[in-house]
Amino acid sequence: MDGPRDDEQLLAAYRAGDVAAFEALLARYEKPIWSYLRRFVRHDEAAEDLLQEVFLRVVRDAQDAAAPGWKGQAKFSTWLFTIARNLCVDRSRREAIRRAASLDAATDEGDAPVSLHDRIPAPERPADAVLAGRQAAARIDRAIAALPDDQREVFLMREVTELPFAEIAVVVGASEPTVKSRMRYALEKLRAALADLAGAGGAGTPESKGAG
Amino acid sequence: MAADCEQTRARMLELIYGELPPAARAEVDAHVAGCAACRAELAALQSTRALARRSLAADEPPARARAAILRAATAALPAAPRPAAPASKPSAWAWLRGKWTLPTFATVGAVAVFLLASRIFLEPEKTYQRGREGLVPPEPAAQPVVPKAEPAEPAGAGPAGFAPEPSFAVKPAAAPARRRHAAPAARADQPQSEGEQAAPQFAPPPPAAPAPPAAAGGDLLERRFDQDRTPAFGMTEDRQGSAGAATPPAAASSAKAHAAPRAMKKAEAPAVEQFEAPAAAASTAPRAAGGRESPVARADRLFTQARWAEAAIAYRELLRDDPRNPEVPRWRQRLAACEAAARSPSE
Repeated sequence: MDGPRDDEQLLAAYRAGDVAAFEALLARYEKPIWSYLRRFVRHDEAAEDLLQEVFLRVVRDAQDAAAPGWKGQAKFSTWLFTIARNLCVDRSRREAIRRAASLDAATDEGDAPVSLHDRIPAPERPADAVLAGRQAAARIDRAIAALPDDQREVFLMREVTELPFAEIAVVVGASEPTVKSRMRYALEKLRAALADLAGAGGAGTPESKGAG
Repeated sequence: MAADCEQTRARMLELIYGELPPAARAEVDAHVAGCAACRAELAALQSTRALARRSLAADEPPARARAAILRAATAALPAAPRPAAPASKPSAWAWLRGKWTLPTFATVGAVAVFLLASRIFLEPEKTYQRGREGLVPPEPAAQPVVPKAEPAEPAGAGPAGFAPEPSFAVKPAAAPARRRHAAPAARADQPQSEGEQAAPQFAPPPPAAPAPPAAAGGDLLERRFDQDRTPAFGMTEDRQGSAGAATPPAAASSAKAHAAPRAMKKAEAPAVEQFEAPAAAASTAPRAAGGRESPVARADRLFTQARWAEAAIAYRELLRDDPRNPEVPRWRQRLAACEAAARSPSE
């Protein structure tokens, strides 16, 4: 096989019985879908279930002869993210409690103690660059999680995959200008969350103003 | 200057994400080169974005999910040692065909006999002229002509004294009562009651027997197709508060909505649903050949599977490609429904 096959070719190959083709698709999209799910749902365990469900639907669609399904009229990635997004939306509906903007609890499973870093002033010595980086990452994680749903889903989708705004508009069922507007708001909020850290926002002043 | 800044800021998003056309991009680049404020703004957005991407890139999917997915992907293949899947599909289809075959052939058989019998009795001269021996002599007036769905006149006179039109003479006695449903039965009865010598040879009881099933089978088929042609959405009320994929209550559609997502349990789906699905596919894809799904059937299926975005794309394409199709109003309705459904979740 010369050159990498595109998504649609891989799915067609899997439909014809080639598991390796499915594996290749999975390798391409597992991480972006996971990241999207995890960051939207803000609950790793639930996100894991959804991750499986997304790809199980792909499997079913490919192998169920009575449902030849998605025939490449939309891009595979558009279709895949539509599945993921719809699952997220359904879950949001079922969720009784919406997580508040400050999320000390759920999402930081894999992160180092965030709150601790939050109180440490930005380092000025190169050796503490790693620390600064972690601080900024924590900030942005929280800021992403704090975005309203409609902005968060657009932002995540645009950042984890290369879907253009026009395709995202199809996935979320809004117009392209609306999607772009939500993206702008999202970026603004993130930028504001990082404003007092070194290297982000404004003119990039080195001093920090303490915990934001 | 201010206008340029405003325009530049408005375009910054597309610029950052590479969606700005070349001419506009050149303008923005030119402005940014000479404007410190816009330059700072652009730098801030880009670094924010870079930080976000770095953080997102660190997300690692859990290994056990990957393993489970691959297991499922392998298990779903037909060649895999999964007794349920390979057997269920063919058997489901065979069973479906069985369901279709019986009434279909019964109907076809009955119609064939009916036509044969009616032909014989309506055009006895021709039949006789073909050289069949030992039959009733070709006396038009005496022929056991049969009624053909015309108002039965209670002709009291026997066929001999009755000078009917060649093909539509009314049979006395039993015919009027049985006319509506069982014309073949009347035909069958008539020769017997008339006591014509030839009649028993050409009007065996069988036409009477299959006639009711024929009528019943025919009605069943018609009823089903009428049902399929009736657009039944009910999508909006179904959408309220339903978690997961909504399934419209329409009979034909719900069959597919149930059948499609539950692929693994397809064989166990109730008889009616399986029975409806091919009919629905057939009625909505009249010109699909060789089992390929037509665009209309595909759009409808996506809709019943609650795949709003894809269904919207499909309906839009139908509307664009075939704007004079009589189903356009239905497609428009469904498109609107898809768009509404796709929009509603964020509340």
